[in-house]
Amino acid sequence: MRYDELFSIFPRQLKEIVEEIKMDVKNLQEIRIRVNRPVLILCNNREYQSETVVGRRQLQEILAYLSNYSLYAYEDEIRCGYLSLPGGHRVGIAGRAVLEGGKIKTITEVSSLNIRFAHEVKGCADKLLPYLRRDGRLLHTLIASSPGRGKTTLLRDCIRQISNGDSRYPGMTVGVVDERSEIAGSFQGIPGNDVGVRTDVLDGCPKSEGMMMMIRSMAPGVLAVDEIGSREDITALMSAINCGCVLMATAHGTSMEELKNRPVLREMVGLGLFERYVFLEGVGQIGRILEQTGGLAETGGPEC
Amino acid sequence: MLRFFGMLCILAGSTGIGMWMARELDLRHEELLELQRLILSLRGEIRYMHQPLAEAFFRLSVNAPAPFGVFFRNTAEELELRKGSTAEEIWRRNQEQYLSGLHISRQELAQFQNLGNMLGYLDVEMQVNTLDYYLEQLKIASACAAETANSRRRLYRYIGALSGAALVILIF
Repeated sequence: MRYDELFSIFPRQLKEIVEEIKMDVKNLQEIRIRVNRPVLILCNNREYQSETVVGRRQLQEILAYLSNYSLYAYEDEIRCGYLSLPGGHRVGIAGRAVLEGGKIKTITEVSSLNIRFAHEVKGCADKLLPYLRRDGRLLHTLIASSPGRGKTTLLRDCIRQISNGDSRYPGMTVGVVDERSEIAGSFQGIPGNDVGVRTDVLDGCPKSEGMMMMIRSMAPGVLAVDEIGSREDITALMSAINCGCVLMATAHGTSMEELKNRPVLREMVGLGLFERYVFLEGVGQIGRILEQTGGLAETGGPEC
Repeated sequence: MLRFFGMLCILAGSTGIGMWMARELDLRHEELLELQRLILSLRGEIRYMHQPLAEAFFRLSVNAPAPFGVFFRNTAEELELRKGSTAEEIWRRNQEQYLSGLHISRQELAQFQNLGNMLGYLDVEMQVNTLDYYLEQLKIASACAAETANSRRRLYRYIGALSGAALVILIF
């Protein structure tokens, strides 16, 4: 992450707070801002605390600035509790939910912001990719971990490498349904992150609908989605498999047992939708790679 | 000959002033109509496309005549650059720089500035309501400007020419 890119999305107050703490902004991971509390900054897995306390008005100004003074344009995202920024960064929002007809209409009286910075780590999937092929065929893969461990970063690099191809395997057309603009980091429709030369991105579209749209319109060889887990996702994933697409997805979960404890994911595991399960241990560390049956996976040949 | 030339100059000058004042009235009306058209487009960009302000302003600037085109383009660029200023500051600064030469009244300029203070916050519904409210103000102002122009246009022209004639009689 470039210093000027990072600071261009920050309002004055936040710039001052970040500058007040001497640290390497390249490794900035998270900034948590809470009303009448000091700002907590996670950088290089170390937490820093600001001396400045942020008031409600300041927090509202920060939010308005982060949305480029167009909060209304992010109405749907705010309803889901977040805001996408250029470069794939994301701001989590907590406050008072306003209900209408039993559904969340918006979030008002915002009291907490969590700015999460997207990191593009090229090459982080190098060790993983040999495990994702069998006899040269790419396998349906689910990358799972607890939040903030680097699932999306790993998925992004898998997409990039599969899309670009290499001397051993030709590049494949990849369709990315990027509901929260986290994979490609699209801004005004243009991917901010390198997702490969054969990648098409459907930005801001709900996953289940987006997957079907992508299959119908772009005929991808590989379909990639982030954070699956709803019942509608299963139907769309099954349709994608039946259409001959290879699936690459991420989900929350630290082990096979944990996945099986979640109603929808249990169903996915039971149906055998995925042929490889990749679990992350620690930030960006690839842990166990399991087969469909739950046994440890073997490599399908060297990737690079 | 010189006297005749002087009379002609006075007559032409005063008639010109009368015509210019009548034209000012028309320009005010035209500017208010142009503003209405632009705000309606902005309403559409926000209501149907959910475009952020910078993008919506940039789209408006493409077809907007001067000085509105320059105003919206510069405001869009400054919003996009995110230099640390608030949207109200950017709007006000650009309004002072590019729209101060407009023929609309001070009250109408103040209403336009108030619009800038209210844009960007809350949800689409609120934005549309804000724009509708401003459009209503514009409609009233425009109707008033049209009425004033119709009633005074001829008067200003006549006064211009007649005052010139009166001055010529008095002097010569």
